[in-house]
Amino acid sequence: MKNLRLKAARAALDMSQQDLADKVGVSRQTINAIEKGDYNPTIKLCLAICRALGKTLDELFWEE
Amino acid sequence: MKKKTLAATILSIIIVSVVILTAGIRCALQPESKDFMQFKSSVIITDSGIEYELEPIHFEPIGKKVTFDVEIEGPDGIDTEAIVHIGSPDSTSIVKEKITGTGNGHAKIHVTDADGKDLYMQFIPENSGSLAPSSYSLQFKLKGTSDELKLHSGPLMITALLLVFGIYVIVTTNRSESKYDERQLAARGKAAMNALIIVMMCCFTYGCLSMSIENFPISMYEVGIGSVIVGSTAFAIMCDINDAFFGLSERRTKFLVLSWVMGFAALFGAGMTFLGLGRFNEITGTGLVVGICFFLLAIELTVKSAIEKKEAADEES
Repeated sequence: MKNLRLKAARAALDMSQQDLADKVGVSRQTINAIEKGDYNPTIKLCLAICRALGKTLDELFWEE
Repeated sequence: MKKKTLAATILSIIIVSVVILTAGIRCALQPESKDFMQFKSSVIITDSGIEYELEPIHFEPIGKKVTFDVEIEGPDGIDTEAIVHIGSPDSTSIVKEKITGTGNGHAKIHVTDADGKDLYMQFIPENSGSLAPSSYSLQFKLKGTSDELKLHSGPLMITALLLVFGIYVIVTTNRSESKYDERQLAARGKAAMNALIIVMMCCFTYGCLSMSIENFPISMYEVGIGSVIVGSTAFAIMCDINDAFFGLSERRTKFLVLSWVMGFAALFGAGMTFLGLGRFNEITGTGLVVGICFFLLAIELTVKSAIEKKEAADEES
């Protein structure tokens, strides 16, 4: 399932996938795979993404 | 001098010294190289003469002096002439020896100026007149012994240079710069497992084919090297498809150029054979596999590079 909330949060900060990847310490393809729903990140990476985007885990990754 | 560079230099010198010493000690301790073969052939004696199918046997001896120990088991009445040609089977014979078939014919054939040239041994059976027309079986036991193992300085120097280069690259490259993220590590693990399965399948297929086909034309050496090369290429391609071949700060351009160059170089070497400029042997056979693998990798890297650029451009827009 696509993670549109992550994409929106990134776009709101005017960050490219590469910018976020550099900030988190992963490859651009990994961010792309998470946004497309092709890869389920570990909790460690989720936390790093949340910190980089200033969001909580619930806001970015919790699914109702 | 940096600590790492100094360590690399010392390590290189130690490893190269060990390689040269090992090669030298092996030459000193084992001055002979031996080859042994055994085969059967049938001979038909008719009223008009003798019919047989014995192709010349090819040898690539190491060293200058070569001794062949020939033993022929067969019926009394068949004498066999063993003829050695140098260079090609059609050239003038350099040694001829008659082996009398008295149950167990035996002869030693000495070639004194082989010096790494190709040798061809041909057997010509003759009916001494005492045998009735029928089909007879001859068993040949052939043992070749060459006098020395030479320490070739050229290949040894190339090996030493490659070792020094390899050690320098490994030690001086800052490995922490080529980190992989968690997705890449998982993808690499999966690719490594699949590559191992491919290597095992290559070896299994070779085992089945060599058992079911007599005189299967591919040697164990070629299969060993070939399987590793095919497995490594499969690993690299699978990793790159999943964007896990290059680390976070690595660029593909250098490796892409290297793959094309390696592919061309290996195929050029192997291609000489098909142009009639070389002889097809284990080295050119392996070179062909290396060339094809590097070409496949280079093509995959080029295609992936184009897709990657398009994806990045789409994401930006």
